[in-house]
Amino acid sequence: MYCKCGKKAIVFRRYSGEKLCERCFNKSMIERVKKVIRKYSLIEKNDRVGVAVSGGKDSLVLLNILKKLSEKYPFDLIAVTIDEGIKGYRDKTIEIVKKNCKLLGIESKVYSFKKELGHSMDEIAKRDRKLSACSYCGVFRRYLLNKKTRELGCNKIAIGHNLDDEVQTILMNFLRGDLSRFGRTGSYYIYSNERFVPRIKPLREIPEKENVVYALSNNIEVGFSRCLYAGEAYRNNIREFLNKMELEQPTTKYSLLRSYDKIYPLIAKNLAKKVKYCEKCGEPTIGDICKTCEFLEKL
Amino acid sequence: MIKVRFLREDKEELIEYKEDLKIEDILRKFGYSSETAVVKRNGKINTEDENVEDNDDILIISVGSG
Ligand SMILES: [Zn+2]
Ligand SMILES: [Zn+2]
Repeated sequence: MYCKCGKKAIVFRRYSGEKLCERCFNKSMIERVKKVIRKYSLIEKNDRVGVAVSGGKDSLVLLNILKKLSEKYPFDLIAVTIDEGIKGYRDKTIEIVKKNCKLLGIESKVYSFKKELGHSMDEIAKRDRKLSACSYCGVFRRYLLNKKTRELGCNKIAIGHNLDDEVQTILMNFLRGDLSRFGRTGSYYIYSNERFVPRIKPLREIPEKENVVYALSNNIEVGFSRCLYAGEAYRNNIREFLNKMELEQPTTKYSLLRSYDKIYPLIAKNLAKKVKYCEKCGEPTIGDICKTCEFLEKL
Repeated sequence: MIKVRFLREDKEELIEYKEDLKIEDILRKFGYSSETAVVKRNGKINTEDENVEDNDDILIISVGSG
C-alpha cells in the first residue's frame, strides 16, 4: 500500500480512503488540528492555554501538536497535571509528563487530590461509597483543572479527547437519555462565566488509533498503562459496539459526530444553564453547592 | 516462526508462519482489529493489509483508552 507521494504507507484511513506515508500522515495530523481550531475559533491570539496532561497518548500528542502550533501563532502553553493519588499508575505517568515537558520546554504544574481536597483516589477507593470510584475522580479532576488553570491565568483548558472518546460519550448520553450532559461533547463551549475556564478539544476529530500512530512515529514517550480503577463497563460495551460498526461501515464514527454537531447549535443555548457560585467554595456550579463540595461532605 | 509481542499486556507468543499470512490475520487471531490496534513489523509501523514473512517480529499496540 503506497501513499500518493509514492512512499510506503503506514496508515490506511478506511473512512476516507487515504493511504499515508509517515511524513504525509504527520503533516495531515497537524493540518487537521489546525482546521478544527480555526473552524470553532478554539484558540485566539495571545490566549494562555492550560493543557490537561495525564501522561497518556492523547494528552501528550495534544501537547506536542499545540507546541508546534504555538511556535507559529502567538499563544502561550502550560501543562497542568492532576495527581489523583493512584499508586503504581499516576506516579509513573507524572514522570513521563515531566520528561516530555522538559523536552518541549513547557512549564509543568502538578496538583494532587490529597493536598488540594484531602483524599487520594486510593483512599476513596477503599471506602464504603455509593458511587463508582470513577465518578469521584471525574468530578474532582474537572474541579481542580478549572480552579488551577484559572489561578494560573489561563483562559482556555485544552483536553485530549479524541474522536472515539467523543462518539462514545455522545452515544452513551443518548442511550441513557442524559441530556444534561449533552453540552459537554460540543465542538465549542457554551458556558461562560468569569470563574469558569472554557474547555477546548482540538483532537475531537482525530481517531484514537491515529493518536497512537502519531506518538509512535514522533517517538513521544507516553504511558500505556491503564488506570487500576478503570471500570466503566458501559463505556467499554459502547466502544466495542462502535468499533464493530466502524469495521462494517468505515464512516460510522464520523457520521455520528457530524449528526451531533448539526444538532448541537440548535440546543446549545437551551443547555447553557445559568451558572452560580458554590456557597461553600465559591467555584462555579449550576446548583447551590458544587458537586465537589457535595461529594467531599459525604466522604 | 513469527514472534508476536503485545506492548500493553507485556506478553509474547510464537505463531507458525504460513504463506499469505497478513497482519490483519494475526490481529484477528488475538482478538484485535484495525480499529483497536496499531502494528509495528520489525520495528516499523505497518498497514494491516501487508503480508508477513517468516521470522518477522510483530509488535501489537492495543489502542485502548487513556
Ligand atoms: Zn506520502
Ligand atoms: Zn464547592
